[in-house]
Amino acid sequence: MGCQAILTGSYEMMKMQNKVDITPYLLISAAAAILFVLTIYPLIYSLALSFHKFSIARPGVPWRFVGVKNYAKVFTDPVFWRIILNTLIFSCSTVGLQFVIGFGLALLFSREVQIRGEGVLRSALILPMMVPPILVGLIWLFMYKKDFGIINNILWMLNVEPVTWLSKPFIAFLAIIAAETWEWTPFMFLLLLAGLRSLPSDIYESSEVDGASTWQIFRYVTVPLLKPIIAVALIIRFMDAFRIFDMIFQLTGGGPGVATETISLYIYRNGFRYFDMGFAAALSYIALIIIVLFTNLYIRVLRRAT
Amino acid sequence: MRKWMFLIVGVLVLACCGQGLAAEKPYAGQELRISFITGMPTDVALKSVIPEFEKETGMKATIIDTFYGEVLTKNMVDLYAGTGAYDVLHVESIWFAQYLPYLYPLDEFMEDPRLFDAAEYDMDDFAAFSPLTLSVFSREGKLYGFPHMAGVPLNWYRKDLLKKAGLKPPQDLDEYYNHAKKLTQDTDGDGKIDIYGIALSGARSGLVDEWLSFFFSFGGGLHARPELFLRTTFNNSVGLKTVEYYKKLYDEVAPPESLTWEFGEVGSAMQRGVVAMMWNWTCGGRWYDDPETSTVVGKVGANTFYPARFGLNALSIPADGPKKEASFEFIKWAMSKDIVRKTTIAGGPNPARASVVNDPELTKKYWWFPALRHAATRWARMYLEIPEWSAIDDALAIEFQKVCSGEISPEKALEVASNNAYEILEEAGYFKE
Repeated sequence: MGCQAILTGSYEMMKMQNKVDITPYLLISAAAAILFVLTIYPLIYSLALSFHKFSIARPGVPWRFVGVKNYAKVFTDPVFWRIILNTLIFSCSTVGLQFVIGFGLALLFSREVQIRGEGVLRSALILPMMVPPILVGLIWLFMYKKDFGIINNILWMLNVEPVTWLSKPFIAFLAIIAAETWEWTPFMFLLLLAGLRSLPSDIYESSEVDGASTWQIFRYVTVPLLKPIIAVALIIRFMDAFRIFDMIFQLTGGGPGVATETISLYIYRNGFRYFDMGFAAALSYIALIIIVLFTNLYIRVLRRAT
Repeated sequence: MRKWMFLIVGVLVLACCGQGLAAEKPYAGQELRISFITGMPTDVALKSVIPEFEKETGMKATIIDTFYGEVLTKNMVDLYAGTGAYDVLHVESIWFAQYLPYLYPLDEFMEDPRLFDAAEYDMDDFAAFSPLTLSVFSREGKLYGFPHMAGVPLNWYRKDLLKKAGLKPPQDLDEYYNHAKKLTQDTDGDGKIDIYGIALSGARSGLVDEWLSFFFSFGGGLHARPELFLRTTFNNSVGLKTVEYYKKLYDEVAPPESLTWEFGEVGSAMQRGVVAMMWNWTCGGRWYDDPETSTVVGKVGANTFYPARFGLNALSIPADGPKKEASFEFIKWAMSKDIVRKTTIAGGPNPARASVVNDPELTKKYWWFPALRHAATRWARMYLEIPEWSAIDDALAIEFQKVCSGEISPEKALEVASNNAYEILEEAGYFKE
């Protein structure tokens, strides 16, 4: 009788434990639905679109399944490879510059000795990041004007020949890198400054006691400790820089020729000027894969280094 | 009893008045959402006159302004999604083929005597402006838009600079180049060119229109039927001559910055007095005489000597628009003789009605009207009116920009551009038997 009661009780407890509690699922269902509608469904839809030929300029012609033809067209298009090269060179150079300048500024502001007016300076430094990218493009477009842009005016005052900033392929490329660096260095600066200020001070004290030089402390203490934050900063900025659109759209439209065209602009051109939606969808997926590959590769390299 | 009688009669009288008012303003209270192009002078001028329409009809007109570079994308996305976001669209002729599946033909309203009096409206007035004015927005005998603005690129020139150099306005492309060469000068002796002979519309969005003017001028041809397009349509001796001519203009007589300019920047260069001549659209005609923004007031003239695209724009009704009759009322009002005249007086520089363009009073203020009339009847033409034209335009512009920036040779540019254009048409199925 006693054993039976124990067994029955245990069985009842097991039944209660096995009964699925759906309350957590109900609570997150709203968020999951929004995520599905705004993210998962569009991803699936665009993946399906990338295997079809369709143009919204011909709505009467239904989707036509073309298999991997759109992807084959991408990989056999010489313009695509030129544009990928542009995008990679642009992303790596602009992120590299932002990192170097941002880190330098962060080191300057993280010193124990406070700079006079640091608060005001720090606020001024992050202002570029607050301006919408399309307006940054407009501002720099006027600054780069040959006849009345402020940059050429300064060059003229220094007796230097004014430069046609946006009409020559290489110079236009540099001009866009400069504008992009101006806008996003504050992001690097803020992230790295927060990282530097979060580092434990006792390690620095013991390093100084051990007689390490400033450079040795920086190389063997600061950088290793800051690696996770550096990794996050570089990955986030690389993904953003890879997808750059607004500024190039304003400054050069991708020209002259395709000298400053990046993958986002190319996708826009095919999707929203030519309305070749299938091809644009295929391009988008290839761009996504490239970003994911690069990010994974970078994380692996970083893990090996640590 | 008498009180009740008076009350009933009063209510009946009020009801009848209400009915009468409703009959006069059958669309009163409706709101029309109208898509215009930001800064387009004729749209700006029409907006200033719209309160008259609102007062007459009791409707409310909400203008949705979109930049020229974005309006096609924005409109097409909304039209495809069937959002019903617009009741009236401002449609550019080069994009008409892309808009066409989403537009509603106007014939149904024009054949309704309740809505349209053909004799009074005088549709021949549009055709008298140019034979193309009504045909551009027609398909299979149906009209899809009332002509809203009709511009043709002209050669704008500085009268004072030409006179000083002892030159008359150029009459062909050889004179165009030779004049430009003479007029490119360092006026203050500091070793830098202060005035360039011409401004080029070298930006990707403007280059091909200008290039094609020169191509047609040199004898080049482009068949209206896309299935007759060949890889050699542009890639021939005339095409090569045109590319080399364009490069020569860019290298020798145009500001280096021209590769990033389209019609706004080109017009601004004329306003600032840094160029002596330019190929540019008539919709900027009033800019040069605006004392607030122009340094060359009264110094600019215009003539025409080359074929050019007929820059016709129309007001159209989207097929998914919920208030088609009311939309037609607006379009009919906006394109009536009286309102086109008022819009022109308010600053619209390129009306599509012959009677307005030929008006001697208006010609005093809009001195380029004779050149515009001549260009519209003699030189205006259209290209391939197909959805793929944007892609072909880009295919040409990209390669020609590379020639100007020194990246590739004219021969290579023509070969690549022509092959790309052909492949675009091939993929679209125009060459299938």
